[in-house]
Amino acid sequence: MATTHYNLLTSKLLFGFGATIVCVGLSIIHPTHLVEGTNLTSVTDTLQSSRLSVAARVNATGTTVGSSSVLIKTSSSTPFFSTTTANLKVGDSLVIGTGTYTVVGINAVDKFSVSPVLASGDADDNDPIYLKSKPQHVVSFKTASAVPNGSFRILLPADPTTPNNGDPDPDGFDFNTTVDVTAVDLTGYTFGSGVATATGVGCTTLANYHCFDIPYTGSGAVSATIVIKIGNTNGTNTPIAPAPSNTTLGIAETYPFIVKNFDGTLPESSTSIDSTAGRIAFLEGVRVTATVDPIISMTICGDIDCVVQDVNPGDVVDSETLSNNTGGTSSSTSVSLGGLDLAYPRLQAQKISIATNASQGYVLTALDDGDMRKGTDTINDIVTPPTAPVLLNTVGTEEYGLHPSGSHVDSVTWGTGGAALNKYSGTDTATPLTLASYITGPTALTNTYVIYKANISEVTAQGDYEHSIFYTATSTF
Amino acid sequence: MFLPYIRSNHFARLIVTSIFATGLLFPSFAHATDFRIVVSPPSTEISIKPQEVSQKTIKITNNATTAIELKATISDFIVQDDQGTPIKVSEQASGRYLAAPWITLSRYNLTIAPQATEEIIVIVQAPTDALAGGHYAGVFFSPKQSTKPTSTGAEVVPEVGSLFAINIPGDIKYDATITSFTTSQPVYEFGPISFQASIANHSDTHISPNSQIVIKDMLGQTLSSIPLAATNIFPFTTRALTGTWDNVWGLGRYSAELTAAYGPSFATSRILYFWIMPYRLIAAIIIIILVLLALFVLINRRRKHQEDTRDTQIDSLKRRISELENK
Repeated sequence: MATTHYNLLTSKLLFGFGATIVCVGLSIIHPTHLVEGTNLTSVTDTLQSSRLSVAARVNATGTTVGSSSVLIKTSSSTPFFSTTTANLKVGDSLVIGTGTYTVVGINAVDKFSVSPVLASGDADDNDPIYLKSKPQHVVSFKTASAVPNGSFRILLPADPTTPNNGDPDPDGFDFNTTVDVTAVDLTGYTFGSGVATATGVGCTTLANYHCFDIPYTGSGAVSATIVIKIGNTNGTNTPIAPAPSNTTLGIAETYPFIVKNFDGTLPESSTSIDSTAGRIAFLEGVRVTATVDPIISMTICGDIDCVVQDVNPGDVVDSETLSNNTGGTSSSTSVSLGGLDLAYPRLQAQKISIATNASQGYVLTALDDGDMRKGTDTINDIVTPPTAPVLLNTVGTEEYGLHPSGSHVDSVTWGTGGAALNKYSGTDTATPLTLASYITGPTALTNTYVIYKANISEVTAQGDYEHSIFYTATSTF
Repeated sequence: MFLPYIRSNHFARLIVTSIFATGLLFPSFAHATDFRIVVSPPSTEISIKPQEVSQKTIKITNNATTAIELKATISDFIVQDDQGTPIKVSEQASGRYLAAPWITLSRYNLTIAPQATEEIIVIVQAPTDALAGGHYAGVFFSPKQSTKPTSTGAEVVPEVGSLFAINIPGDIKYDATITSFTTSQPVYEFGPISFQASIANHSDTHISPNSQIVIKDMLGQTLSSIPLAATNIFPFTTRALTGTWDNVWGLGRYSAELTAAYGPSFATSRILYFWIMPYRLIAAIIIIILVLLALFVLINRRRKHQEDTRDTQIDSLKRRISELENK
């Protein structure tokens, strides 16, 4: 009995030993089986942009053909869940109806403006409004084991209803017809061409996921950092980010993704060795706004004030000395020509500087309260608007006028280049004389010299003559 | 002995304090002529119904190193040229665009310390019988004190304006036409192509057309879309617009269609045609082709000539062989 029991025990030990040997042998033949189920580590999906897509609808009540203003519906209707302009910004390219438009302004929580103006067929009620956010995915992870001649598969969530129609979906990424998958070779991994398959079309292992596969040859390696790119940075052949239904401003929307390492180059017919799930986070944009007030500034200086921008009497502008009379002075609010001379023209100047950030630019005009006068005696303007300015250089003839000089001198009034030189005009009480203008938009501080010049004749009555000139700076209308 | 000291000390303090107090209460305007002011905003658009009130704020900053006293005046304005130059007019001259009497300011005189900003409130109230359409006025800021010239000369009054365009909704007629649309020349050798257009506004109010030029080639394919600046056009005036197609190379006839959308849903358009013909380049290519063709013909002739010589030599040798064989 004891011998039988001993033999039974011995045979059990031998069977156990033999089974152990067989197992060890098998493990040597198929070593990867030992690490099945190990997690890939440091798995991340870095998005080129964390912007969600937008899927909204046109509200025809406030949207018309030929207008740049677009009103969106503030109630959702599947699959259009974007009901505010929160995720839009100036410069975005949108599809409205069937046309493509650029956002040029966000006007309200449900209103924005586009360029060009809306075409016929793009302003109907419930026409779709799409912002297609197509960020490149850069998936990075460390291998858990050395799997030779295998493949990697990345699974991104797909919408169960319209996963591949080229429009943003509420419950996952839209495949967007064709997607590029690439990876950079490294020791143990020589990558082949990536293959992207939309859910339900060859990619069925996990329902409602798109597959992005890339095979490799080589021995594989442990803890190798693999980087796989899905899509491109310019948005071509790139999945479209979701436009979900339950977004909250500033709160991240997360979606799962899965990375798998297969033991063959065709994942569908191979065994998954290592696998890890991660999450992708999108953030509904928090729009940061700042307002710069539109302004227009005006500075006027003579030769006795405005230290920074003074008028130097000796300076020569447009061949004229700014001040050629020792008795003459100018300030911000007055110009004294000094004693006038039969033999010489007398000159004095001011400098007017204007800046504006208004899109209409600016215009500087002049009016007066009448001729330069002393009682009933006058020194006549050489010409007055709307007569075009003329030369003022006849010594001994009674004449008086202004001449502007600077880069913004109004070419319509004064001509350009040499034609504008030394032309003078008086001012009128009703018809403004345009001195300078800049109508193409904002401009930095720009100086315009205004030169006053007077001649007298032998019959000009003695005494001090004066009048008032009104310089008005406004934006153009 | 002590009392006089206290008294004299107090008296001195009183004088000094009075001088400082006077300086604080009545700041010196010895340099009040230094005019450096900033006005914001330069223009404002308002839409109000008759009897409604709209309130706006204008900020005025004194950038000078001395305080300044300013006065605010209100005046109607109109536009007559194609550059958008506002012209101040009297209430009688403003006609149906009258707006100045509708504007009230919170204050008409203000003193602004150096590097300081003051605000005035602008209240606009349209009367019951306000005509539907555009009404235009401005608030203008100028120095309160004037300075007479010390000799023959001019008193200068600088002023900066903040324009108000007030639209009264209602039965407003909208009408605009593109009165001209041209290129600087009908045929170009190269780009860029510059366009000039004029849009006339025949509406009861100002318009700000959204304009763009669409360039198409001879096959009707759209090559470019050029947006033009959206500028205001005063009622019954014309505004000049310009645009540039920054394209260098081209060949053939092109069309350019200017479309201007204005008002609530109106649009006007006009089309022109122009040519791009790089004639010097074409001439150079033709000359190169002709030269190459001439070279080819010459080389071919020479080769044929050489081949002909060889044939003669062969014939000669054949005859010689034949002669030798006959011998």
